[in-house]
Amino acid sequence: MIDVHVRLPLDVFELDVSFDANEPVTALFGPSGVGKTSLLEVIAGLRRPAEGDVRIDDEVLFSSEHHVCLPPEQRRVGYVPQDALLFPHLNVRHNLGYGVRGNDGSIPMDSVVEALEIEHLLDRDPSKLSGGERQRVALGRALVSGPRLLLLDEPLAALDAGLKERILPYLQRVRDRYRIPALVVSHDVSEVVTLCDEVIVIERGRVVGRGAPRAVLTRPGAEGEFFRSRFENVLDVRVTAHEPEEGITRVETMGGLALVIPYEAHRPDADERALVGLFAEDILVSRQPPVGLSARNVFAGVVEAVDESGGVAMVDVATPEPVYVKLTRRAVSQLGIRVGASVHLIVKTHSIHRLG
Amino acid sequence: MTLDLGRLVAFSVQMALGGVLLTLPVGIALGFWLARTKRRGKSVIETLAMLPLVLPPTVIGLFLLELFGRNRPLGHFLYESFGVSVAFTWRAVVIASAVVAFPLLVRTVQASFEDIDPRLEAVARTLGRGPLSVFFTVSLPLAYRGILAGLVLAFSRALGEFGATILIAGNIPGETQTLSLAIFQLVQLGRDPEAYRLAAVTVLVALVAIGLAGRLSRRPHARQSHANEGTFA
Repeated sequence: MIDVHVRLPLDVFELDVSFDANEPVTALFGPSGVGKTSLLEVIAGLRRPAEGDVRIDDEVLFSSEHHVCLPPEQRRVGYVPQDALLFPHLNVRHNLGYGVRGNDGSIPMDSVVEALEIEHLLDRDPSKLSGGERQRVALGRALVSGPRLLLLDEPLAALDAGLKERILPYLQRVRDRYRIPALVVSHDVSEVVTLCDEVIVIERGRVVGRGAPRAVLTRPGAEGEFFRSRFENVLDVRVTAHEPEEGITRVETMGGLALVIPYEAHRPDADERALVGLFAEDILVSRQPPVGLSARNVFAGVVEAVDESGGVAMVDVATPEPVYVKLTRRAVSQLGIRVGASVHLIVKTHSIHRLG
Repeated sequence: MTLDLGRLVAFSVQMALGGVLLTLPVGIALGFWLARTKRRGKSVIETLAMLPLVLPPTVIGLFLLELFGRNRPLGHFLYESFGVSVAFTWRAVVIASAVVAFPLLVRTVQASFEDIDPRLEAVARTLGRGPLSVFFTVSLPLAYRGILAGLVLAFSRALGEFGATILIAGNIPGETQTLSLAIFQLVQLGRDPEAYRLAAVTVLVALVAIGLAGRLSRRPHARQSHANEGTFA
């Protein structure tokens, strides 16, 4: 549990936030330049607030009242900056091992190397890594130092969205394997929904909302980002069969939703787990069961919620997995889509892509 | 005056090296502090550190005499307490070299630390290392090339030192006479060909120093440093 009350004057406004985070992974969500990075720096001990206090569990890291300010090396807070900041004069192995002295052995380096799939990079120089590899090594370096809290600053921001090598699946794996509480700064809706248990929305230095990611990010107003962004449904799936001659791979979500995705020769393991992404705007909706379509993925569902406050409609459909569909308001009225309506969702095989 | 060329070169190089080594710890510490501090007093300290560069060396020599002369407080104290004389000994040559080399070293060192992203040091702290450990494992290795460049510059300046040295150490053959002092004496005595020979030797020593530094800076672990790229170009 982390408890933060901070007042810190910044260039154009003042950061003045109070929150406590009890969930394993908490997102600090908001547009760029609202002081989220400064907040992480305060928690890591790299920046001194004008006043306030910062506590992890019952230990006071900073308190202006009691004149406590632990130096960063005594905080055991793993900081993963946006641009990775690997040490340029050390190879990957030595970058990873830099903070190993603080590790009590609960997070072995071998396990981190395996979880992040960076074994083949160990002898390389940081300058020879791609953006995603750099992020993974920076995350690994923080883990190996044995932190009790992870601070991740925009883990996806340094990456080209088109890149295949996304870091999200690794973040999920790290979350599930090590169970270290984390604060994730983000303005990526899919990232927050997929990774985080709670979201705290910050605007111009203030906390303006908090709650479960799906609930908060669909709320109108400050969180309208949800409607503007290219929302990606992220589904955790298990591979059930490969059919290379058909060019498809069959997968199934934990909730039992069967999907067909494009076959990829270099990912042959059946029974393997994977993350797949599906953009809300790439899904078709039909009120009748469709016939004679080329699309391989057709599944029935019931409309749970329709939110039109953002100028477009975000329709929350309950299939075995909750799926968001983005429609125009005209489509919603013409099809008569309202809460409780039964619909069929249609997704082309190639609209589903693997993440990671 | 007879010249023992080998001895003269060895002595000059030793004095210059001694001066540089004397300034090195202070120079690196001050350079780092200047590169990182945001305090108001910074520009005052910076100016003071640069003073030996802009003052005529003879003025520096006078100051040093004022400090280390046998009848002056510091010189007197050193002689009475430790039996060490400074003025008109090789020690004075080293001190004069150190003082004139200092600003060049500090300037270069400061610039090479300023080239390092201070956030690298910040991240190192979050990984559980104290400031001193971070300095030796991150800042110093990354500033390696710049510091080496500063050393060469400081060494060259120390090797050429004349004005301050002649005032505080004199020009005593076999005792405080360096290459540049010997050249001066030879010209005064009208022995120009010998002076030119010494000048050529001095150029050679300087070239060797630069070459050596260039080679050292290409050692593998310094390759990644982005500090002061092309300093030796």
